Amino acid sequence: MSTEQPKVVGASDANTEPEPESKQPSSLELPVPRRRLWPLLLVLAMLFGAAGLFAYRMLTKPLPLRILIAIDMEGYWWEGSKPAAKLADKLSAQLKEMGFDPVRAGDPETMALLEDAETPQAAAHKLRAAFIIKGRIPLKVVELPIAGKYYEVQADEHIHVQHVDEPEPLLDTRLRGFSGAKDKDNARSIIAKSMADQVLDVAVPAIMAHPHLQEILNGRDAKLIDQLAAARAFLNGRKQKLDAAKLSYDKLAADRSKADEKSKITFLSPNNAEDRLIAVHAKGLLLSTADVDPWYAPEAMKLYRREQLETVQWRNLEGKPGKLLWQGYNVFTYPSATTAGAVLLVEDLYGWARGLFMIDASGKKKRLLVEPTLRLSEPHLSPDGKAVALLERSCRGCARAITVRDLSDGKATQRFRIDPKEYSQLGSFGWLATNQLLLVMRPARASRFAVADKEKQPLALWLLSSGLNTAERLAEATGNASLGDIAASADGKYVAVGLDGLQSIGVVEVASRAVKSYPVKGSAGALAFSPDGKHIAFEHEKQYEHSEIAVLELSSGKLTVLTHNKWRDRRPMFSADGKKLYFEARNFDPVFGRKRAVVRIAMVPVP
Amino acid sequence: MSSEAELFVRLAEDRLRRRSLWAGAVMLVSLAIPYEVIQNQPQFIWQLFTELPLSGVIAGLAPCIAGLVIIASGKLCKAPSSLAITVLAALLTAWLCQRLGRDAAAWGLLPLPQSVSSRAPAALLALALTAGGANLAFREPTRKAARVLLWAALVAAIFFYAWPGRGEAPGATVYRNLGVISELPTVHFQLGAITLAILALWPAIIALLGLIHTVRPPQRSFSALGMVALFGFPLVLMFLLFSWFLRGGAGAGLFGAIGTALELSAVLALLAGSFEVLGESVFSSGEHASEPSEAAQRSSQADAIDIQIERAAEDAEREMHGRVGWPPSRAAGVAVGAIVLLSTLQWWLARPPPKGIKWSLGASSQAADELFGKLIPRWSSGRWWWDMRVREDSSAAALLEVKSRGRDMISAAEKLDPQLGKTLRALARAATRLDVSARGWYRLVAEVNSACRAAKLPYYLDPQVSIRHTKEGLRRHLRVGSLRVVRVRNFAANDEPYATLYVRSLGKLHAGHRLGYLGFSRDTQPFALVVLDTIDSHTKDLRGYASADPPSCGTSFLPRRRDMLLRCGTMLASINQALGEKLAEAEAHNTARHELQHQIDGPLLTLAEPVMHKLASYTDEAQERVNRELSAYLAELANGEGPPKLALVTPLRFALLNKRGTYHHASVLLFGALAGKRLYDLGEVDDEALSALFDELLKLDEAALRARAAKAWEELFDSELLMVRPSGDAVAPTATSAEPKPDDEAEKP
Repeated sequence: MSTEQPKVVGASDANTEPEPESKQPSSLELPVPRRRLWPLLLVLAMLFGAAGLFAYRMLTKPLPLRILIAIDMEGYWWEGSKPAAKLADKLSAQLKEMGFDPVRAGDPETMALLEDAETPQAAAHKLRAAFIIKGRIPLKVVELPIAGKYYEVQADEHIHVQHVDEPEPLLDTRLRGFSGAKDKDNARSIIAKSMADQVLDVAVPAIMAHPHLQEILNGRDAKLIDQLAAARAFLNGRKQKLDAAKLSYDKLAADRSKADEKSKITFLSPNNAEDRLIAVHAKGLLLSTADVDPWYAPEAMKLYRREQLETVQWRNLEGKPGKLLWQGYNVFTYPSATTAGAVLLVEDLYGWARGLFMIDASGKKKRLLVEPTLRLSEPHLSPDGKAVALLERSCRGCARAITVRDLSDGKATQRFRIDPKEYSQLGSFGWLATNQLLLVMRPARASRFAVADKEKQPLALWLLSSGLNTAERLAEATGNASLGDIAASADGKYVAVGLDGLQSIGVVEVASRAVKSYPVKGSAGALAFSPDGKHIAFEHEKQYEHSEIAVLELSSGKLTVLTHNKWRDRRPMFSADGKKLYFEARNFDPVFGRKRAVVRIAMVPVP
Repeated sequence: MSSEAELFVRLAEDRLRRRSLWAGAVMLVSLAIPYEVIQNQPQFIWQLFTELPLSGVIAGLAPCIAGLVIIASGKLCKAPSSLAITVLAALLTAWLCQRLGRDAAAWGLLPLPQSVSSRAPAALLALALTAGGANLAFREPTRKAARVLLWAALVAAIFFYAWPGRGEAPGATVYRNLGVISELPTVHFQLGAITLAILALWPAIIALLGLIHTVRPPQRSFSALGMVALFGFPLVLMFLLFSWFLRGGAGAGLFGAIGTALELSAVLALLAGSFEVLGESVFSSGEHASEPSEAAQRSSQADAIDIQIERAAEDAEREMHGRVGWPPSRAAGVAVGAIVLLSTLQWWLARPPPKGIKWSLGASSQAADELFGKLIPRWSSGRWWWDMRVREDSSAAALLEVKSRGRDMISAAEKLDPQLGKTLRALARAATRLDVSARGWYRLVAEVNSACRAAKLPYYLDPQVSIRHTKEGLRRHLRVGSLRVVRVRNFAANDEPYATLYVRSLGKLHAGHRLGYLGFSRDTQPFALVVLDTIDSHTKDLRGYASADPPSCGTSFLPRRRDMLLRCGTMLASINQALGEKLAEAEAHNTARHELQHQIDGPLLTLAEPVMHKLASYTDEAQERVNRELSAYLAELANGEGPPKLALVTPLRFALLNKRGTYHHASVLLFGALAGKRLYDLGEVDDEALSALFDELLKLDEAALRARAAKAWEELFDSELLMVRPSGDAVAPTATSAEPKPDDEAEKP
């Protein structure tokens, strides 16, 4: 750089002679050595590049709390699936409440981005979502045969929670649910919302356990920590309640096991099951199940139960799941099964109707009858499986009628009927053999069953035979005795009946009508003959809601009480070899109280 | 020109060139000054571009463009006078564009914000002229120019304080506020009021101080008064802002205010610099002028020596290249041309929307009723629901529902009329976006209505836009109301066409508008609406008042008011008896005239003095609303097709039975205007005076009452009330499911 003072152009000094001009350079730049600029430019470029990369990274880095919900439920929401949209909306709202930043579904810009993206994962990157909740939940829509239509929608599939930068999902879990509504879309909407609750229940713990979230929670960013306060409260509350629930079920199971330690009882159902024993066959146990999943509701901070569809299914003799025969909203009263394996059940069609549903021995299923007005219950299949005796009421408080319906025509046509007006008292009923129906009844004076002395109609055990055209009394109750549950031996020669007032069991020899009474020091219910007909197992009830399983040896009249606890054990059934008794061990649910029962299938050896 | 004179000319030119750079830059970045701050969130003008007409956008950008032009001219203009003229032209054009744009935006959906449209040019002019004049007064040759500028400053200041514009003159406001200082409760308040008064009087104070330099020149070329005039006001503002900062901390509002103060400084500096340069160029004649005092010369010469050196170099360069710039006359000619051209363009763009509409009504049909009565309202409410949620919550289901309903709507419309289907498809497509502007929404709905008109369908979709202030900025919510057009009435006033639609609501939304309005009018639309559903229910109420025993227009515990209401009831009973079944029709016609007046007035109606007086402490918006209702009530009385006394009932009820609200104030002022005096004292209605007036009005015949109302209107608004006359009628033919045909004549010429 020149150190000369610049001269003012045109301001000449008259007293100074001009100096001889030196040789003018062709350009002012030439005398100055050229500096190499490229290193500087390179450094600058690198700096800018680094800054640009940093800025790009900052602007595209996934936001730790942002979650994309991409659950395919008959398509994604951006493809027009309404159930998926409902699920996304509800789940987003809940995640937002918990402090997360779910990608807002329904935003046109988000929608355009999702539509253009090849995969939800790619979209999540563009939307800067750190987590993605994805899965495909196909909906099975069942149109129920109800006048005016009714739809049941079932869902049973896995969902995944994944961090966008990680290949493996954080969570892969199965979700199940169902809904019912008169409108198909409404049913879909209901199940979508239900699935949103389930997804929340499993996704939040998985996300919160991710190292990035843990880093935030253990870090110093008070704002973010505060933002996740609701999620932490949810996690804590959920864990607390679920742990407490598990503890309650475990404690109940432990108490039961301890109480029956000497009886060598084996429990075959989970600790919180509500299983019902329908039949015991050589190949396994026929059960109906009514499972629930405990679910922690963040708003109420309470544990609720989410009911699953009920099932009728086979389990092996160790309680392992076998063939699923039926699945639906509600199986009403106990189904009935033949020894050949045919099953008939009364299904409750969401309160709009009741139907008779048959699964024959080959596993073929058929809905035989749907009754919107008649309230069907307590089906009893005839031994050959071609007829069913059941109760019918025309309204909730109305008197019961007993009908026998023919199943061979596939329409369950009514073959026989005892109207309410024909009896003044009605008790148990069941089949002695094909076309031979046993029935405890006190006839009405004007009925076809009335005895000659119209004023003294007895409570009796009736046998309807010859195509149900003839009726005869096998035994009558005397004095204060009341006839309770009945059971027929496998060979049809004997019928056992609980004599409630007399604290004994009466056994009637069908051929001779001879009745032999066995004292049992308590009431006897749910009688069951052993396969060889030498024993009768029954519920031995000494006080209300406390019954034990007992066995009566008919030859000696020896009574053996097999269980010893303070709860209710019921519906004993012999195994095919007669060496074991299967029964229901029943309690009120320790978590949900009297609204639900815990019913576990148990087995006890017969001494 | 002597070298000394040249030197001082160069000083002024140099100041202007430097100012053109920094002040131009300030104006350029004024775009980044938030025009409004909502919940501490800055709102910028570009965020409103889609909401504004083109002229409004130009108005918003005008300061920025002017800044750009000024920076460029500082570099390009060689002659100082050319530069000054260009700067002035840019500022003037920007102001004109803003002014015209503001007026245009007022007709639209979103008025331009105060920060852009409400600058007081006369006050700025006064300050700038004083600053320029004070600097010019330093030298004898330019003192003539200085005197002109300083006196002009005073004239500008007087104009500023005396000119009322659309409302009260600032001088009157200042005078009124000064009068109440002594009544303020504490010294704290009094000091605050005095500070504000000084601020308000600042242009006057500076202009008056400037007159000192007409007789006593300043000691320096850049005078102390010049500095105070330029930077004093922004400085005081900065002090106030600093105080704000100490109390409230920094926020978008504070930065906005600082930006405004800087912009103000920039404009003042540019104006003053330009006046100074022009003053020297125009009024000084060069060599004949005597020199400034010796002392003044010394001080100034010392200051100017560096500039002289620089200038000499520039002169040499300029001479070498032979560039001397345009002569002032040529620059002025080009500037005037540019101003005229640009202002004319802006004026053309800013024209009020045309009024009046031609509509041949055909018969309705069941399919059309299904579309307009069910499908469109369902779609609109679905969209509304989605729109209300989508920015906060996930709303995928709502969006899908909107789309689904939209498909149903389009499908039905296409069967009815292909063009209607096409326009509804465009509307539905736009409706699934969030960035659709209010203007866009109006345009799309207008296209649907055009298709309706083309198909002679007697339906009208009413575009509804509610604008909410939220933390994230202005939020628009869009929907449409579905109405059946029963009748289209055309009017003419002063050879201009106007129109009203008589409508009935379809769907669940009553009247497609808030329930309770007898009619409504939007400045941006070419017609007003009369809502027959509300008219019917109102007529039922009126009949109830008339048939009460004794007839009364309402009840009040105050005896005098009760008396008035009873007299009103008697009057109403006689009107009801005379009109019989035609009462509803008369009410509809009066309402039509009321709404037509809104169409005629537009948003720029002169603010009546009584409105300013009664609502002195209210917001501008409140004053505007009352002012417009007052005008419409008077027009309804003076020119309604129904009996004028019927038009007294509603205002009387508002005056007596309400205590506040737009319609109460408008009603009290209406009776005040008819009485020719104020009928309230300290905000309370003067029952005695009102009672006397009401008696007087009852005694008048129709013509006298109309004449009195017209006269009152003219006195309030200082112009002639336009008398509208019907110029054509179209009535929807009775169809299968259509409304019953109105009982008056169809196709009235």
